Amino acid sequence: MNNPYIPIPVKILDIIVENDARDIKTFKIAFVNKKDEKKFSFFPGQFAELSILGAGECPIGIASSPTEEGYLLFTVKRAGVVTTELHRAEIGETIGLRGPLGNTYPMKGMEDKNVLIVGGGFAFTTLRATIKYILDERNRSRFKDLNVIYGARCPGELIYKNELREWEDRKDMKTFITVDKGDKDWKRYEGFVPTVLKEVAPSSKKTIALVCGPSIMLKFTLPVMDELGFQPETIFMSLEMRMKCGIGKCGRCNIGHKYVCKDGPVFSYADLQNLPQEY
Amino acid sequence: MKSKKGHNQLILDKQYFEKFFKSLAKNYKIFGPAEIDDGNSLIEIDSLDKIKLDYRNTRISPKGFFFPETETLFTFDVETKKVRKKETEEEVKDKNRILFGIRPCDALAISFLDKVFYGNKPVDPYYTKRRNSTRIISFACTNPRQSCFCTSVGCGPDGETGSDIIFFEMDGRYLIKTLTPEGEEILENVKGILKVAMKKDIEEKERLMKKAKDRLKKIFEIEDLEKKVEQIDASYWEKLHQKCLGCGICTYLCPTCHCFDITDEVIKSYGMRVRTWDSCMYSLFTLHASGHNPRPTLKERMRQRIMHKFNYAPKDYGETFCVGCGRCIIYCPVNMDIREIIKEIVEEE
Repeated sequence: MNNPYIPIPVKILDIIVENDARDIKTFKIAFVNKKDEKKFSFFPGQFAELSILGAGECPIGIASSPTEEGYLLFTVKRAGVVTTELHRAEIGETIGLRGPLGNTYPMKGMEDKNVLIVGGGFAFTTLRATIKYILDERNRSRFKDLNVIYGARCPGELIYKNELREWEDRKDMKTFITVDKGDKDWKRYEGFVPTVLKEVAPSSKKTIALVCGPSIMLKFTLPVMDELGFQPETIFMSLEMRMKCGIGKCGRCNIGHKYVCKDGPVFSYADLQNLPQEY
Repeated sequence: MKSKKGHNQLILDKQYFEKFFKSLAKNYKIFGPAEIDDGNSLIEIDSLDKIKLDYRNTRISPKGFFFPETETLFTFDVETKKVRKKETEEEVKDKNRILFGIRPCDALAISFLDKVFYGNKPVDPYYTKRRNSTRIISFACTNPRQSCFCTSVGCGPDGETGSDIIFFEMDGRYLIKTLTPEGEEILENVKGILKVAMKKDIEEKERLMKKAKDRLKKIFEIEDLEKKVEQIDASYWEKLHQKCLGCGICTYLCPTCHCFDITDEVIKSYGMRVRTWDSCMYSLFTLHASGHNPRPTLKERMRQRIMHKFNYAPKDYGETFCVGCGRCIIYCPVNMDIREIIKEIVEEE
């Protein structure tokens, strides 16, 4: 019998410190066993339980795209017991992984449509996976316009800085980057994500929007989306909840009768409107 | 599913009970109700004088036989960071058990847990292994307690779901009804001491059950419960949770509650990943590492518990996750009565 509670061994290939506060790190990992790598088939939006034997497990979104082969990326903010332990880990160390878990962004439903990506803070991880997936030369032609709006508190808190610059230079997408408050060298947008969204005003016609960020950002972003004409069925959000099993049994990550670990983490805004506001 | 020339209702004379039991004990490890300290518990019955079959229900439900309060999922070496898989497989080692004499409400609850742990993919290997090696022989209730309300939630003193065999205690004899091929198999070796039940035996059983059911009058109809609990005004939850202490005893004693936590325990370099019962009534249950808590007060937690049983489980598993055993009513320190809660909800205009 396959045991879904046993973590698969993975090795840390590289660790990138993402922000000035040094509490967000991206872990580049690879499977220790080739057969585990073959079995690990996923799409953007999914997550995995990262496991440190002796500390516990923590659900983290997969920040890399399946088009990036040979490794996985996980961007982790130091917050609790497991993430603190993970931040202490070094290159070459073996950790555990259970997954892929959960559902995905509607990658099929986004084909032949424009894609708007709105992200805030370090909740940009599975959105990065989606952008990388769309930009892959094997996939790009299947999607129309790609607009990305991403914000953080200050310039030092933006993650994936090199990639953001790359994306700004690309002709086949538009990238709008904002911070709540800039510094003297800051030349991009200044202000909260919903404000910039309103200013940029991307068309809602034939567009699917993926929105992920802190709840305060969502609270003010959703009314702007509404003003721009986005229907709740076209807005997808990724939620996070405290989780343990990740397979719909331990009973804690549910919102109404939906389990974030199994039925989510991606929900359409239309779905969420039918669930209690307990997230 | 028929035994003894196609009959599934058989008679065991009480004088042969010991013989019957000993014969079962040859092939199975038997667990049954016994009086321990001030209450009844299910313990291993290695000699017949321990068993107490005229018991009212046990304080602790039998769910722990499949989903223990605490269990090691696997062990590991902290230094080498290696999982010791072999031990994992040995952890679940109970073979061929019989739960003898549990109540039909608890057997029904086990059938619900089956849906969670192996009906709902991926299967939980720990639960499934124990479940597959356990047979259930339930005892129909002839003497329900005041707190029992099984007939109101779709179960009954002679409910059959979840059992392999059900026993009815009658004057000088037991009527035994086999319900599954596994139940059939258990009786294979004791056929010699069983007789086919006659019409008068079955009539006596029906009379006994009618008497029990008369004491268990339906107190509410649950047909509209799933819808009504969803529609009830938010102020209801505001009021409901006021006297709740959030102790969680209702969830621990509930035969269908199955929420759990997973934690790591380490002694020197020896580590264990452990699963323990948890409760939605606790604030830490949903607390994020960021400090955010989606269910910050007892109001949301109480709502979660009631909704899970009467709305979410019916949606996810097609079952109301309450079997009317009444444990939460008896042991609640502030006398919360789930019957009153359901009644208020279904009678709400």
